[in-house]
Amino acid sequence: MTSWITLFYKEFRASKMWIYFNILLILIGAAVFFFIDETQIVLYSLLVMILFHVIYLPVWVIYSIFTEWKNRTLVHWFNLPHSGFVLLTAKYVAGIVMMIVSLIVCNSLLVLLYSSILDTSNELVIQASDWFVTHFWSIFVGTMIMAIFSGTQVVCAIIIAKSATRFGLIFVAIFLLLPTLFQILFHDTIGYTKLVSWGMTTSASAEWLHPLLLNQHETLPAINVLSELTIFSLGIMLPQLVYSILLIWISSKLLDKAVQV
Amino acid sequence: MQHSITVELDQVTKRFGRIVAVNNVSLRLPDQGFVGLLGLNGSGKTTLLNLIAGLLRPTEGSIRLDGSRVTRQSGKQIAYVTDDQSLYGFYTIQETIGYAERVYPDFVRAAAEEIVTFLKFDVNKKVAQLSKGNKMRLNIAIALARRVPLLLMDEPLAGLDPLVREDILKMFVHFGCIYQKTIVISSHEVSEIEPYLDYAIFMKEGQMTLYASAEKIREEREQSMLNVMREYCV
Repeated sequence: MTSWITLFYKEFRASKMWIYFNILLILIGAAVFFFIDETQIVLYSLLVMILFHVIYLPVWVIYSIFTEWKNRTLVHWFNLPHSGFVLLTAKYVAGIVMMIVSLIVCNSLLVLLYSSILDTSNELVIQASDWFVTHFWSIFVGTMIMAIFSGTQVVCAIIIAKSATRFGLIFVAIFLLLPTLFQILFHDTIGYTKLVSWGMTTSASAEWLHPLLLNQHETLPAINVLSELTIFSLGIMLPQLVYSILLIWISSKLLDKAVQV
Repeated sequence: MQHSITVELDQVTKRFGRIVAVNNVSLRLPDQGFVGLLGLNGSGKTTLLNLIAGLLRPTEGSIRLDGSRVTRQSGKQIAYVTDDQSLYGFYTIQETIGYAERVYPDFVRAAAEEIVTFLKFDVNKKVAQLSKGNKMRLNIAIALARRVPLLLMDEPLAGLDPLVREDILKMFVHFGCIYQKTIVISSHEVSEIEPYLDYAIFMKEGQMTLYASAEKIREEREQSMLNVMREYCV
């Protein structure tokens, strides 16, 4: 346990530049608020918050491993006398913590910006605030699970690439396409529809967004993207979480038995 | 007292595409002592050490540690120091010792502090601020402070000035012999490490051309390791 905690804290020391960059991006995102149309603010902020944090972990994983390689500590890390599970989870959980902190800071900043930029007597502001309060935790948890899901896929893809002696890229491509293939094959089946809609925390259609968009003109593609991104249900989140845990386990085993540095 | 380890290579070959880096090497490392892995650049020394350390898998053959196949987790019994790898630059030397104590179950803090004192390091200096020679010394100090039966060093003297090289070799003698272990050093600086060697493995184009005790080589051939290297590695 001591080793895991040491490796976990080490990641924060190693990710100093990443943390500074994260803060900078949040501040830049916040500054843009002052330049965009008031009617676009809610949609923009949701897109930024969700999209940014869904790609956060995959990018962080690549950054972390690249940093180990660049600073010539990769062999040291790989050679540590601990299981692949300890090495990977210490690194990955550190990334998750950084992502959660970023998500919280983002949300807090949004609250501040809404109250300072938007007129508090504005119907939109009241609706947006109510909506955030009502849906905050489902958006937060859903985004977090989506980020973990995408991050573990990147971890596993990198591990597969370093494990295969031949045709590594082909194996990686097949692996990354698996969830999409699964969706394409089963998307129209009754079972899939039931699973996806089980335990819905947000609506599957764009209708739930309409109260936010009263008297606004939003571009249709943006609404469609947002409604796709924010379908959060237990039927989606739980399988994503289970799949993520499975990928970490597979990656750990490959790290111990197959990876070559 | 730590136990010794049996390292056996059985017809080990390692290919990278069409390049054969190690070709049909079979040997058993001694239970203790200094082993020099000698050969010209590109003779397969680094690849062989990476294979023993579990960083690479052999294309053919097997490598066993106490009868079990070598994997990444062989790091529990092996300390590996390479010239192109570093410790974390954002830690100070003191923090590095603390970090090593927490991640290596076999690490002896007192031994590390003794070596660091011997080297006259400023423990509050960050690793990133150290010169190349001092980084290597610190790397070796951390490895020597681990109570593991096998210590592998890949070109620990490469690119260092003569005084630093001499210091490092003295470190091996002073601290490496206190606890019984096998230390394998790869180098093409044969003349410098010759006085310290108990055994020598000569490599040429991925093949092992000679493996014998240093004493036997000196007695039978009555010539320096450098001349033997000319005969077996060129």
